[in-house]
Amino acid sequence: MTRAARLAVPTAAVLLLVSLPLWANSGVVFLAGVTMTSAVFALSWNLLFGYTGLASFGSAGFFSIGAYVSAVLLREGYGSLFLLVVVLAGLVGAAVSWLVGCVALRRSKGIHLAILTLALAELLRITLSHTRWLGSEDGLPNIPRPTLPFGFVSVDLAAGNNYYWFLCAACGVLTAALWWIAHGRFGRVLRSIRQDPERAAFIGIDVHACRLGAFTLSGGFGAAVGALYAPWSQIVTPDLGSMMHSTQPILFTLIGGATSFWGPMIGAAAFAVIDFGTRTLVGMSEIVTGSILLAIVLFAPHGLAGAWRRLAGARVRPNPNGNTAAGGAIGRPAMREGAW
Amino acid sequence: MTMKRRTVLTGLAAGAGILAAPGILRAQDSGPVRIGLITTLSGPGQFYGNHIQTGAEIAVERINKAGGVAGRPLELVVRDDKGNPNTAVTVFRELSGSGIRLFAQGTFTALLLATTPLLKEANATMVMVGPQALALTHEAFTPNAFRLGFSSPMAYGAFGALMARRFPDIGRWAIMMSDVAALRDIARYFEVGLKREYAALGRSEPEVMNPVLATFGAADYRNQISTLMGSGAEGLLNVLQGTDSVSYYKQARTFGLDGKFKAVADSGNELSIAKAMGGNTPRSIWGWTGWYQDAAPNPVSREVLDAHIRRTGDGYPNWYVGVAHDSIAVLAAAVAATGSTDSAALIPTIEAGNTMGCTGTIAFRKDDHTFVGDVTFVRFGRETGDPKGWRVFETATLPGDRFVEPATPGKPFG
Amino acid sequence: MFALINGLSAGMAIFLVAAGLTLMFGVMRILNFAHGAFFMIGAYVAATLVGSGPHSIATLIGGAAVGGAAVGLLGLAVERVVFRRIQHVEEHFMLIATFAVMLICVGAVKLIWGLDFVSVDPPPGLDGAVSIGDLFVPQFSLFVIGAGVAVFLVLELFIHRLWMGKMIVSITADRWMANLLGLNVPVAVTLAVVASFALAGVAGGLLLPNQTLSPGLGDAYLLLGFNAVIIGGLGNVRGAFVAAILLGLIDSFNAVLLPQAPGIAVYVGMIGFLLLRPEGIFAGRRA
Repeated sequence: MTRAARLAVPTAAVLLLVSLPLWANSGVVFLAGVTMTSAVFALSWNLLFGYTGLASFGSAGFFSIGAYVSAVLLREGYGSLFLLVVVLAGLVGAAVSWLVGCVALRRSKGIHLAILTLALAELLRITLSHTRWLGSEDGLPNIPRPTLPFGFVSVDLAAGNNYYWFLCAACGVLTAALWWIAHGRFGRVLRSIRQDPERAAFIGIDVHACRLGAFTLSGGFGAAVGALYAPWSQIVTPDLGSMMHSTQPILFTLIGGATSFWGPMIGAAAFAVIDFGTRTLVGMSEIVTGSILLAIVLFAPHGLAGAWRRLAGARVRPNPNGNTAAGGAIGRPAMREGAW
Repeated sequence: MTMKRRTVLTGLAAGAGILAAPGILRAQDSGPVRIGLITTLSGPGQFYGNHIQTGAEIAVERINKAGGVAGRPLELVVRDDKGNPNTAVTVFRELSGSGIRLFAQGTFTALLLATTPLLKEANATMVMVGPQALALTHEAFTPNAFRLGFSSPMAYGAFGALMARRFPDIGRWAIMMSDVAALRDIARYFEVGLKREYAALGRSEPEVMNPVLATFGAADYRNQISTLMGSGAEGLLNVLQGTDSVSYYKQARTFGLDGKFKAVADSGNELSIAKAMGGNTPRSIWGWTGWYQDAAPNPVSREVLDAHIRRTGDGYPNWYVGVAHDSIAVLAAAVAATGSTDSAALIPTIEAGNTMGCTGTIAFRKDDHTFVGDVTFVRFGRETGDPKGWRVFETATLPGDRFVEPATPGKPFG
Repeated sequence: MFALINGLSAGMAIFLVAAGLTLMFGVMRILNFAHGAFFMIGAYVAATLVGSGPHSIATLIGGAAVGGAAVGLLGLAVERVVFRRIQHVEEHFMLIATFAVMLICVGAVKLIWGLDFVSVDPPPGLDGAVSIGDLFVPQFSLFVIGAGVAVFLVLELFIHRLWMGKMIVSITADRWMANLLGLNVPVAVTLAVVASFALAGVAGGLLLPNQTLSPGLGDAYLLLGFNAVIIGGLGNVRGAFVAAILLGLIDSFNAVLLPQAPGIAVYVGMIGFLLLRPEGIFAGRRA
């Protein structure tokens, strides 16, 4: 595959997303917005999993922290400071994440960390659903979309599809930031920890501090994207922090491929298609969704990104750089775990 | 720079609107009149969603058999909201984007809170199928939505009053409920209705104990049952939902539930308990229901019941069937009367309307679009002589207007 | 005092679910999301056989046995078609496989048995209560305690006394080494997986009279089962047994001592345990 072809796919995807409101049904547009936020959410989770080797089952807790912070502040009329609100939500998420990480990462790892984070997120969800001023189980509805001032002109994000385009831009910024972290020095350090924590410690890396850093960043990004999500969906409920929501980034990542930076995004997109496709399959949606997942597991056991790379790789062999196509594949060849 | 970009974007959006518009007009001016039905057809809410779908389909069938709406056939477009507010909004926008202006939606309150703010902009009219939460007609009121459901004060205020009348000697009531904030209103307004009626009867006020709580979806209720049995209460209000409730009655049987309580009131499970428990149904339970054919028979109600029996063989349909039928009937009648699907025409028509449905003449209060009608209760229980193992002993109806809360559209109540 | 008996009974119910879960984790290194769904299928199969009012305790146990056998067969199929084909893939990927199997099972149950609630009553002999002093104990609670202890003892015997069990233990401890030593690993793994599924089915059948059947049944026990497996130390049957009792007691005393906030103590207890004894109750020992 040529360089041009490698660029063509992401460019087409971006163009497709940005132009969506111009030609697609508004239900599809709404779903695309939700999918963008869940894709970035999944990327933030994969910073922890794919790069650091830590699995959190409570990531939805951070997402819901961000969403609630944003929902409360927008309902209180801080819309003109929305960009600050998103940053603030990210900071709150990062702070909580840091606190949790301080305690949790010292004591547990692997499946224990997963269940510990799950239990904490459940406690948060139960607390939210009993908090009257946050709307209990029914959550906070009618979240207004903000108006952003830019010097002399202001952009009303509530009008038309403005918030959608804002969401595109904001998710793009967050994705770029995550890409930069993952491919920068910190990302390389994290990968070395994932591969062999003891060796990493031996060569002078503070393993605990780096893991804590990744955990904090992951929580912060999760909360920031939660803050972007709230005015898009215009309702937040405690279920945002539920176990089912925590499993979403996990599914997206694994279906898409954890070893590729873009894997979680591909997974999120695939899920959106499945979800939209099964909305009319009364009584059959569980079986159909389950069967599709199973088929992916059986026939593409390295995720869709892996399957795509294999397909692309087969076509361009021999590959002079050792690269197997698809832009952001990371950590090869050491990250490769299967025999593909 | 910003200005320019914005202008461009707005221009593009407007262009898209113009491109899309002819499609919308075509869709609604000829061909069938389409109603979007959004309900929960997977996950735990499917138990209710399926009944709603059945009721709505029966309504469409009946209306089309009688010649449709203003000469056009009625068509139901069903979408699964998957119990998720995002999916509800997605399918709502999908349907409204394809030109549908008429909606019926129901199961969970949060899903309605997600879609109802979108109605006005979409020029859509919605009948909310069966919700009880106060917010929908109070702080989250929107003129484009009508609640064809029984508000908590109306349904459970009336329930309390009925219990007071039937069991004026009970001095202490206990409440069993799931630890779910949305259910607290049920207990609260039951207590209000109970105490008011005792006062009206000139009796001394009964004690209503703090609710005994269990987690939602729990498997074991024996500790709670033990607490209830030792409480000395003679009346019991059960606010558990669905399978929780059946598990609870089953486990309570061993402890002698039947002998302990003179009165058992069940908030929302009506006959689904007896259908699951058969010959082991408790001796006698009073249950609230949104629709029970024999309580206030009318020709529509009879036809819907017959249609349900033809479809499923079940002669005791869930109350959602009747209410969902009526939701579609209200929309169809309004379209027939105005010849339009425009919300500006439909809203006043529905406000003034007097459609005949399963639940009698369907009337909404003009101020906040909440349904006001008779509240129905059934008493059922174990009956060894009956092949089903249980039977309905009696019914009671109370006028809802005595109990419904005052209208405060746009502002919270209480 | 009643809370104690009830906690024991609830704990045993949790153990019945956790036993298969921990066995599966031992050999496959996965938390099986589908376990709750198989529990549910076992319950539905048994309920179809025994009807809503089983005639005797033997009928109930027989129904549970058939339910267990049916689910065991299903497990064999799942192992052959799914697990075996992806066993060399990263273990996290197995999670999705079990998640997908769970979705399919729930969907299938809806299609086969419908959505209406199904209730099975305790058989004569288990529907009453016995009084011990001034304590009022439902017979069914005693039955569940007995069933839990029985399943535990059978597993203990199997794992620590029989050759096959010892083989599974060695695979749990080090699969690679077991293979190197010439043990027939695939057969043992299949056996353990089928046993795990069958245990889920048996648990579903035995607990029939306890709760109500609906396609959402799997969820109620799955999370508690997970918790017991984690606290007990993954793959450790003895640990799961003790942890299940602890969880049952914690939840039961939560209901009595802190009735305003049911279900909270289990999570707080979980978090405490994970922080204090992250390797499980019997840290360092595997069984």
